[in-house]
Amino acid sequence: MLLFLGCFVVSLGYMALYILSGKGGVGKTQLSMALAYYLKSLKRRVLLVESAQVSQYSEFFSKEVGFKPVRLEANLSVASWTGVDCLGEYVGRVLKSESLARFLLSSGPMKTLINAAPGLKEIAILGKLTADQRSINMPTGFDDIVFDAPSSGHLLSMLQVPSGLQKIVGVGPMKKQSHEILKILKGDGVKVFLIENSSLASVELKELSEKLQSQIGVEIHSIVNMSKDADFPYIESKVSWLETAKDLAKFWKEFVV
Amino acid sequence: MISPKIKIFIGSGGVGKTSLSVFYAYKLSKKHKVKLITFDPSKRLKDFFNMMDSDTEKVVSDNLLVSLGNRKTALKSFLKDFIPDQKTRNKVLETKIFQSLLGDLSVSQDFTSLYELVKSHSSETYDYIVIDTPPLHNSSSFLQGAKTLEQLFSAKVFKFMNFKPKSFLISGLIDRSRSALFKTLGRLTGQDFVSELILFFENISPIRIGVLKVLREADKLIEEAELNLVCAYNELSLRSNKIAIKNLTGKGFHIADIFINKYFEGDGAESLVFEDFKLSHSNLSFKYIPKLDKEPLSPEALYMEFNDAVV
Repeated sequence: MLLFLGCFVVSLGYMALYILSGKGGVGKTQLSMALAYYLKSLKRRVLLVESAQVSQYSEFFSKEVGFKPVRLEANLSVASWTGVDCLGEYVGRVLKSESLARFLLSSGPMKTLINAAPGLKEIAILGKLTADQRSINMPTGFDDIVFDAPSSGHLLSMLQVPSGLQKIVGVGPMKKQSHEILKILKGDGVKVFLIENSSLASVELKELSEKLQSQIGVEIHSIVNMSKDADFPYIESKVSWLETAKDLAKFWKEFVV
Repeated sequence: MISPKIKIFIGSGGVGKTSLSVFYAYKLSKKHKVKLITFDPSKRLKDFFNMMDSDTEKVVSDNLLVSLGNRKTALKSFLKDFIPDQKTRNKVLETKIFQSLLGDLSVSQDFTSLYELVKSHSSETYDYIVIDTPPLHNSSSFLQGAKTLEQLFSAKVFKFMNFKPKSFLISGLIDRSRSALFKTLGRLTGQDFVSELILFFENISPIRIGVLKVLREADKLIEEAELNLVCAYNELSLRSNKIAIKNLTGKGFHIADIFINKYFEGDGAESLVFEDFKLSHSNLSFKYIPKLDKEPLSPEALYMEFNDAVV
């Protein structure tokens, strides 16, 4: 019994959600992939996630990537989550009934409303990203999630949603959800990295980092630099982006303990 | 009446949309009246013109106005235009949902962007409107935002939301099913959210037609606008933009030019992907901007570097 309890506590504390953001086009996807490779080398089971309207990963990995995780290699899977998909799952989970969820979404106006309501899609994605840490559902079977997040401004809007929703809703499941998600986002299980690719310290990232801290209470783990002589000495190589990501994986050692 | 030409720059993140928007706006402003607007929340545009986060716009020269697209002012000015009566207007402003649209829930900025576009177009002031957009994959697309919002502001949705739970006892079958729907929604979000939502729809119903008018006009302007796709010369950007083009042309959009930014001669991984990219889009015209050692940080510097490349 004691042994069982011990395992439980350790494995819970172990789960981590890595959120990688930064200015558009700095190499978020490549560094996310590098981090996934690094965590895998530590014998972790890793899920790499993008959130997009239209999946880019299918093109990046030359393989159909969708809502359900697809295995790339041992202990490494990828998934592409759209807000609408996550929302569908979220509705079912909160209502605790598939048929009620179907009933709700069978109404045209209701469906339009739910899909357009401000913040619902974002809370659904954040809800899914933190589901394991909130012990919602059956465990997904991954130790770590690496979230290849939207670029800076969009990440801020996304992370502002839980506190925004809390202000509209006084009581009820959505308030509870938002509260729980926010607690996880502020906790040790979430590690936010901002990426830059110039040797000059980026004002934009400093501002973002300050806003994340003051407006939401989310601490930035590190700002990492991906350029020739920096943390991730990126060189244009003749090999594919995936091979380059593999080469860069070892440099994560310094940032992930 | 002047009917401004609209140039929109689209593409995935970090490819150079902002730089190209600034370059074209600046170049055009040497001979024409130009308004340059960014709808990207990261507002990189402000760095080129030494603007602060809080600035909403800046007059750069007699011919060039730069706007950072301020959501709060746009929403408020829209209400002022469409609800002249202050009492009615305050009712809308006071609903919690509207308050959060002005504050934390800034995810839905589509409408204000579209409204600014329509207003700038009808102001009869500009020869050109140049638009810098958010990355294509992050947000619900700026290009399709009008259509999505049109659904939300349809008569059908408003009729559905015009619901007084009190009348439940004497209501018919349809109302009972609707009541059950609202109850279920309440279980999802909380009953007070549902009440807020019903109140919100009731309060904004006077502006429904006005909103729809703006949306339809915006939709028309975007359909007629010149779409320029910007793509950085690297493997992931080429792959990502390939998806974007497929998606856009599938939805009936027509792309005028593809700008290949940060281009260089070489035989790296990107050159292989690019060969394939060119083959798949042989019907489109390409313009090349060479890779620079240092990124130009001012409009004038951009003009010097880009002008030869993209004439």
